[in-house]
Amino acid sequence: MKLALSPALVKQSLASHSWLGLLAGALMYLVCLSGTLAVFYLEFERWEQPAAEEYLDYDPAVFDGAYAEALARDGEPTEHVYIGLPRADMPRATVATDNVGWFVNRDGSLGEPVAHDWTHILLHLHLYLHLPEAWGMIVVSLLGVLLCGLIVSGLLAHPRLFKDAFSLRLRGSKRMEQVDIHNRLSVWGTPFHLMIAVTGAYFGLAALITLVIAKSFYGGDTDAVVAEIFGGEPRLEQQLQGPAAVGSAVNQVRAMAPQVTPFYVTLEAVDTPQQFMLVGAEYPRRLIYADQFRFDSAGHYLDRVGFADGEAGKQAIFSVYRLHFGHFGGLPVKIAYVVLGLALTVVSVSGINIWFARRKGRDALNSLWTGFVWGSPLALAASAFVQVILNVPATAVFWGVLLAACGFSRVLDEDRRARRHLLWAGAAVMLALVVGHALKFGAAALSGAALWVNLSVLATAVIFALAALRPLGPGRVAASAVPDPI
Amino acid sequence: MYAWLGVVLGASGVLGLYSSWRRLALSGGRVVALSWLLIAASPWAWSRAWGAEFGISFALIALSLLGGLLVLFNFEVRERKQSRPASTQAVAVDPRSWGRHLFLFFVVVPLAGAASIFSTVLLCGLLPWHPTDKMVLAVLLVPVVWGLAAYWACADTRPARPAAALLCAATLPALMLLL
Repeated sequence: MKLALSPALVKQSLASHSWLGLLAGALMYLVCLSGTLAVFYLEFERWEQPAAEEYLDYDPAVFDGAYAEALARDGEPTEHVYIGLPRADMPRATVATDNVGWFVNRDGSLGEPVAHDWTHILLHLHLYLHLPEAWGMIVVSLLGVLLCGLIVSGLLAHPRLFKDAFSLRLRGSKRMEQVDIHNRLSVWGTPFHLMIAVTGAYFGLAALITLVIAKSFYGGDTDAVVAEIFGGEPRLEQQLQGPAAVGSAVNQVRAMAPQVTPFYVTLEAVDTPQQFMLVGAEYPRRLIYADQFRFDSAGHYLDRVGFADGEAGKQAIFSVYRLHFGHFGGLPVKIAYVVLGLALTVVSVSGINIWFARRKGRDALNSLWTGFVWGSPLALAASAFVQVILNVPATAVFWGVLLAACGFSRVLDEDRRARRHLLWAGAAVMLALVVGHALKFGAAALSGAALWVNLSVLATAVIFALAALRPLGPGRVAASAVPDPI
Repeated sequence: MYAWLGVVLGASGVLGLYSSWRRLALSGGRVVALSWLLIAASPWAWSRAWGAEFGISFALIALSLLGGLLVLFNFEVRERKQSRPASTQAVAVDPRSWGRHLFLFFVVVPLAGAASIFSTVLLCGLLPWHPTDKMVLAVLLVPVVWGLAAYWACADTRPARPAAALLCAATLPALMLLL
């Protein structure tokens, strides 16, 4: 089966694909790698603090006292209080102000402070590349845009789309090997890649587009645009009498909509006459993040925002989060997202590898790229060790280790040996991370989500070690003009 | 029941494509057409089991995984070709190409961005829909339109052509929207 694309179109599309791919380049790899891991960010949060009490059945009334206690302990002004209710994929409760948060025990007492800083580092890398948030969000969204362009140019640059649909020729010519890996993973993953690109771009571009829409149709009032989509705030003037009736609100949602699962409560305009509550509830078999039931401070039902059955646009926009992070359909979907996310990560690496293979010579960029690709997992593992085991802020550790890996690879100037050393280092740090975690948290490290994360890290360490054991092959590996396949 | 039917339909479709591709007993144009039909029918079965939102998502995920699985199943290991020895050279910097790259960057990022945002917002605003639906469509379409514009800007053999067109596509809608 042949797709009739003119040679000129293919050539121009290939040129476009190369330029866009190089523009996205290394940043795309970091965003894809961190995004793949971020699918399991809830599990990482549980792994970071494995001793927190976990439960699914609870009396909502205990949160009335818990949030009041949190406000008293914080002492600083706050506009919001966030209460996370236990649910299947996060069976622990939290209460947080704008400043600090605690776990909530089943009896309503406050547990240890919430502190999953490494997961925050991982998510911040994925969402902002550790840049200031306003800029980082735009840069990462731009990568989503470039991914859209790459998907189109990639498909149009591929005249043998169907003829090669199942070909995977490994070894042989390095360029052919990389091209096959790149094209097969790209073509079969196209629906996933397009979804990731559009939903990923949304997070940063929405603010920009909202500005234009507000200027164009709402006299510059961005709040009116936000209210149109996400619902305006209720206009209340109450005399506050004691803590907000959180438990009553949750119980009313359970009674009104027995099929939904309330999983968070947000108090807005805290301690003001306008104070109100949002109870967010998950709907079965729906992609919307939640629908929000709103109550005044005394627990009187006000309304429902209508993400579940409002305008199609409202439903669509509130489905972006679950679609992007794979948080629907349970563990099988999360695993599928990790597989497909890893494939996109490999696509971003193999794309650059192909560019290297097409160059006639070899320069410092080759070895720096090898260090960057194989240094990134090492840097993530090292930052986890420093942050989780040693309790030392580790963002600088991530970038320091990544820089050191690039420098090491450059100095060695032999891609395969550099890759081998970085694989060994990655495996060693991952092993140390698991051992350190077990020593620090004891039995808690060997149960629940912590056990599965530790086993996964251990399995990754074994895979890295096995990959490092692969023979380097005959010949001077330094002579190779192409980084080793991933 | 319907979930399994979705799996069977999707798997049969991908296997049909694979069979045709390998020129096995079941191959040819009709098999390819039937395979695509089966693949197209799988979201229906998934949706019956899980609702349309989960069903379509599951069907597309399953298609990607099944295709990838067959690619893995079909891998072929060839004899490694020894690469020609090449010593590491200094990074070649050609300042003459900087102008072109800077121009492309300007067209691909700010110009194509402005063009896609203003033109998409303008066109979506013309739709006879609820304001929320128009806004959300614009928000979700902009990255695709921007990506297409970026592709065109880099693919055209005469870079001035997309640049001029995108300048118009940014300026005119902006004037119409903001004045």
